Order: sequence, then structure tokens, then C-alpha cells
Amino acid sequence: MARKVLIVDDAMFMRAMIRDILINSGQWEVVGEASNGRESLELYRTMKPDLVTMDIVMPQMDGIEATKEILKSDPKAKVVMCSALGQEALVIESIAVGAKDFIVKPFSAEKVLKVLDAVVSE
Amino acid sequence: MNITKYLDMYLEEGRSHVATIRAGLNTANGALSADINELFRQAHSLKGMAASMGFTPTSSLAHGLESLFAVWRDGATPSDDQIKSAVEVVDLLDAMLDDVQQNGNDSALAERASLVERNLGQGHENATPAPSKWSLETREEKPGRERTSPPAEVPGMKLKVYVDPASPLPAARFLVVSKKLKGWFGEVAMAPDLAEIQRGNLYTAIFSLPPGSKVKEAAHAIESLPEISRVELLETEPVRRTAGGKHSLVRSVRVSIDDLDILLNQTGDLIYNLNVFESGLPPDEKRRFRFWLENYRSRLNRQFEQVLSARLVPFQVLVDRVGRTIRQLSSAMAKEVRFEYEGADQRVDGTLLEKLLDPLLHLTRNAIDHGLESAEERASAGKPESGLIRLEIRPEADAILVILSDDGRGMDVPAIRREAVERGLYTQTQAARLDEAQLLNLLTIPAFSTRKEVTEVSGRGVGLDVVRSAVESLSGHLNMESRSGKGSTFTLVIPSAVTLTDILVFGWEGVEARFGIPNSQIRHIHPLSNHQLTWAGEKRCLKNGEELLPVVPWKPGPVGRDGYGLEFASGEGRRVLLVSSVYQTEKVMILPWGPPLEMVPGWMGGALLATGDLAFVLDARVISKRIGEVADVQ
Repeated sequence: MARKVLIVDDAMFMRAMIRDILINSGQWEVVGEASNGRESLELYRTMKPDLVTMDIVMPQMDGIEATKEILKSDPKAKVVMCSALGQEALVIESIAVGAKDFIVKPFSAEKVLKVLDAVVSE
Repeated sequence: MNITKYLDMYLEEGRSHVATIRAGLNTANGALSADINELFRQAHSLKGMAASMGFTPTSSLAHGLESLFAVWRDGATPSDDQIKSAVEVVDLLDAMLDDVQQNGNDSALAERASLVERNLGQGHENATPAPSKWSLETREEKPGRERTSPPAEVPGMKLKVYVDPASPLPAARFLVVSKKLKGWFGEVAMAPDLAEIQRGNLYTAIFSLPPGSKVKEAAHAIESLPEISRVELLETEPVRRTAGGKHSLVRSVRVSIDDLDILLNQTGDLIYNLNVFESGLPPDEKRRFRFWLENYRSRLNRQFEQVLSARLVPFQVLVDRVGRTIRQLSSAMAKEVRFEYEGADQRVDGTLLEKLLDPLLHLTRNAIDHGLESAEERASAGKPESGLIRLEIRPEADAILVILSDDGRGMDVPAIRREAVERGLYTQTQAARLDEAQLLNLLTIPAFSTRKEVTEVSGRGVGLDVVRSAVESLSGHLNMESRSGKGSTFTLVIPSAVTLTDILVFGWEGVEARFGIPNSQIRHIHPLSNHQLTWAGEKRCLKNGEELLPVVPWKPGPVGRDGYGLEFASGEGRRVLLVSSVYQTEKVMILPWGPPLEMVPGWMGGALLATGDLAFVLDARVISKRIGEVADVQ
């Protein structure tokens, strides 16, 4: 049974990569893609995904803000941060704010799937 | 818990903490040399480690120190007396580490420790009175004192979590684990704390769970989380691994000295190979590639220096030890002693340092016991009441000078003279002819002493024979100076063998062997084709313009007009050594001789030349002196 995921990243390339990984696993259905924090709030409300992959650095509203807002509207939301190397402090902040886990670019399909699986099955 | 596994770590880190605290207690302009929070953390770490190892006296004492630092941290100004007490505690902690190193436990000094600790506890208004017996279960920490959550002594279970080393953000990973655990168990403590893990990029942390927790289930659950490689259940206190207590951006790794030596030798070999390679090139090739070769050589030299500096230890370690001995003796003998030192940040070969420790401590004991007078004597002699002991480390071109001096009464030279006669070593007339240096040298003969009583401190005799043999085992020598009523100075001259030295390679006709003298000793090379040799009385001399330079009367082979005079400075002035051929200068590692050649003064060691020959490296000054003596006798 496919779980529903919302992909949030300002780079189309990254969204495509994550999408490929998730779809190829056969266990995930991508129900939406957002390119900034503000968009992600809208899409979360309408699509109600099981999990969100959230990039940190984005225009308009960054990933940490967006995570905060999503959790405000749905305290049970499961958000996994996608960070680039060298952003440990931001990742830590995100987790402190309520993100459940994180994955680091460049992604390995195996790692991504493992993390998302663990989070969604809690 | 198997503590022997952790013993080395405990000793190494314990000493590091002690050294840092000691350095921090040095006052400059009336203020401590370190941030009080740092001092607190160091004492705290030491306390935790000692407790984990079961060394309760050490832990208790460290706790006393920690409490004192907490008082200072909370705003009280450290008084001179308090600082002095703190230094005393640090010295004792050091001694307790020694005890553990020797005997595997710290019980011998336990009583003394609790006494010192009690003294320390007096005079704090707001400090928690430190009881002399500090037990793990009943100790109550004052809230708000510690920066990190519950210390290691809280009973309960612990999970040691290892994050996959491939994980790029271990701190974030630990935070995820921590949140998960908090979700199951409420408050959970993590050690080291998040900030430290971040700073040190650490991959191991210990979580303290409340007692009665479903620890096994938690362990399994955590283990199956992403990026977690292993989880251990700890039944007893783990070893507290702080990031070395140094909150800096510099990370360090432990490397064994043997490994460094191998690296050093290999680098030396690389340099040697390069020399061989270069020497085998035809001249035009050499010219063509000279920049590349120079570049390569300079990189290798830099690598050599790098490894060397990792191999070398700051002299401060020795200085601290001497300082501690001075403080012990000063109070044991009720003599006030000031200690000054210079050059402590010089880096020295670690093994050299070990060998120098005993001789230096011996000299220090002598200085305080015999050299320094009582306060009254000093006052009546117009000297300041506290005696001065000065330790200086001075690097020279091919040697390191370790100079220990005091401003005491000096050595009783006439008494030495009398003693020499009494012991039948010399007749009255012979003894009268001996100069001061020769008389002082007599002190280094075993069992020669001018003090009739044996004191507990220095034992039988002045014991300088021990010092001299230790120094000579390092291919060095001992110089002694004394000024009656003013003080004594001991200089240990240690050649630094672990380094590359420029030497001038030369030889004599008909003699197959090659010889070398460190470049730094050679002042000038005089070609004999345009310098004349002449006689001044019975001494052969080289004419250098108007001056006559005495020639060293040593010639393993004939030297003709196509030879050279190597001019160098010796104790007696400038001298010239006549040689047939001068070959080249080379940067080599001078390897000291083993027995029996090492016993001959002046033969510094051997060096492998690029040509593959072995060069006998000589100390020109010493050779000239000895040959001069021989010549005089003849």
C-alpha cells in the first residue's frame, strides 16, 4: 500500500531525484511538489500526505519556518528535512522545532527509503 | 568493569586535565590565566573519570577543587591563599595519578587527600561542604551548578549509542535519538551534550535513562533506527569521554610514539633517496631539473619537520615536574623558594625528556638541600629571604642546553680541594694546582661528597655522578659553575640527534673514510694554495693575513698545498684543522654511536651520505680541546 508523500524543494532537479527514488521503490505515491515553504503549507492542507520531505534553504519561507507552520496546523505531521552538507546547525534546529528526521544530500536511495520508512511507520 | 582497558586513557587524560588546571592557576596581573568555566569543566571531567574508575579519593579531591572553582565562577574573587591551596591540590592530584600508574590505585594518598580537601573546604561561604567520604549514591548535586544534565553517578541504566561513522551529521542524529527516548521515558540525559558533539563531531554518546526503564526494548528500538550502527547496554559507570576537555576547533588523534618514529625514519629515508638520486644524475640533467629537485627536497624537509614536531613534546612537562618537586621540598625543608623558568615552550624529543627528569630532580633536590641557605643566613648575607631556582632551556645549533641555577651559597671549592687530599686522590701540591673546573668535576666521581651527613632528601653524597652519567648517556656533557656565596649553575648540554644537520664532508689522502663537521661550527675554509703554514714557537699555525691561527695537531693523512684549513672556534680560540680534500656539504641525520664509540667525546655520530658512504661526524671543538691536551702532555 503506497504511502503519500509531499516533496518540498526549490530545485526542480532535487525534487525529480527524490521523486524517482520514491516512485521506483513502489511504496510511495508522490501527491504533490512544492518549491517553497509557503506553497508547501497550501499543499499540505489540501493533499494531507503521510509524510513531507522538506528542503531547508528556500526562498519566500525556509524549511524550518514551514515545518513550524505545518506542525501548528497538524501536530501529528511527519516532516523529514533534506539538507546539504555543512548545515548541521540548521538540521538540529529543525529537529528541535519538530522535524522527525533528516537526510543529507547527495542522497543514496537506500538511506532515503530507510529513513522515510522508519518515520512513517512510527 | 574492566578498568585496565581504560587505565592508559585515564592516566593520559587525567594528566592533561591536571596540566591544564595548573596552567590556568598561574596568575598574570593578578588574574587567572584561564577562563573559570574552563577550570571548572576540567575539574569536573577529572572527577567523573576518577569516579568511573573507582578511584574515590581522587574523585573526592577533584570534587573539592570543582567546588572551589564553582565559588569563583559564581563571582567570588580568588584569594592568593585559595589559589595556593588549589595549586597544592593540583600537585596532589598529580601525585595520585602517579600512584595509580605505579600501583594501580590511589589508596596510599587517600588520607592526605582528605586532609587537604578538608582544608580546601574551609573558607567557602557558599560552597557545598565537601565531605571526606564521597559516595556515588548519596551525593547530591546543587541544582543549576552543572551545565550538562545529571552526572554519571545517577543510578539507572545507560545506553551507549554509536552513530554510523558514514553519517555526515552525527549531532543531528543524536538529537533524533534523544527526542525519541524522551518521547518514551520523559527526561533523558545525554553525555556529552549536543554542543560538544557538534563541536567535536563525535559519533558516540551515552544516554542515561531513569531507573526501571524498559531499557532492553529501548536499546532494540534505537538500534533499528537509521544511521545507528550499534547500541550497548551499560550496567555500570562508563568512562566519561569528553572532547579532551579542550573546547577548541582543533581535533586530535592519539598516535603511538613508535608509529611516529617509523614515519620519521621513512621520511628521512625519502630524503636520503632523493640525495642518492640527485647525485646519480649527469650534470646537465641535474641542472635541468634543479628547480624540481629543490622543490621536492624542500617539501620532504617540511614533512620531516612536521612529523618531528608531532614527535616532540613541550618542555613544560618537565618544568611542571620540577616545579612540583620544588614546592614539596620547600615546605618539607621550611625554606622559601621561588621558581623561575624560561623556554618552557621549546619542544624536545619525548624520550630525551624522560631521561632528563631524574638528573634534573636530583639537581633540584641538591640545590634546595645544600645550595640554598636558611632564611636567616640569606638575610644576613643581604639576599632576599626566598631562594631562587631558575630553569632555562636554550636551543643551540646542534644541542639543547638545560640550565639549572640557584642563588645559594655555591659549592665549597676549598672543601673539595681538602677532601680530594683527604681521600688520597691528590697530594697537597697536586691539589693546589687544580683549577675550579677540575675540582668541581671531582664531584661527579661516585661517592665523593663534601657533606658529612646524609640527609633524607639527597641521600648519600651529592650524587652528581648520577647526573653526569645520565647526561653522557644522551651523548651530552655536564658543565658546572659555582660562585662562592652567589650560587651554582649546572648546564646539561644535550646534542639534538633527531634532526637534520648540515655537515661539511672532508677527508685525508690515503684515508678511505669520510669525515664531517657540522657546518655551523666552521667559520672559514682556507685553501692552502694561498695560505702559508708557519711555526710560532712550537705550534704550527696558519697565516691568515696578519694573524696566526693555531693548527690542530691531528692529521690522519698527509696534507699538501692543495689541501684546506678548516677554521672553527673552540673554547681556546680559533683553530684550524688541516685536511686534504673537502667534498661537499650535506644535510644529514647524525645518528649517535652506540657503545663503545659513544664514550669517546667529540665523535658525535655517523651519517649516511648521498654517495652511500658513512661519514664520521666530529665535534670540532671537543676534538681540538682533547688533542691539544694530548699534545701538551707530549
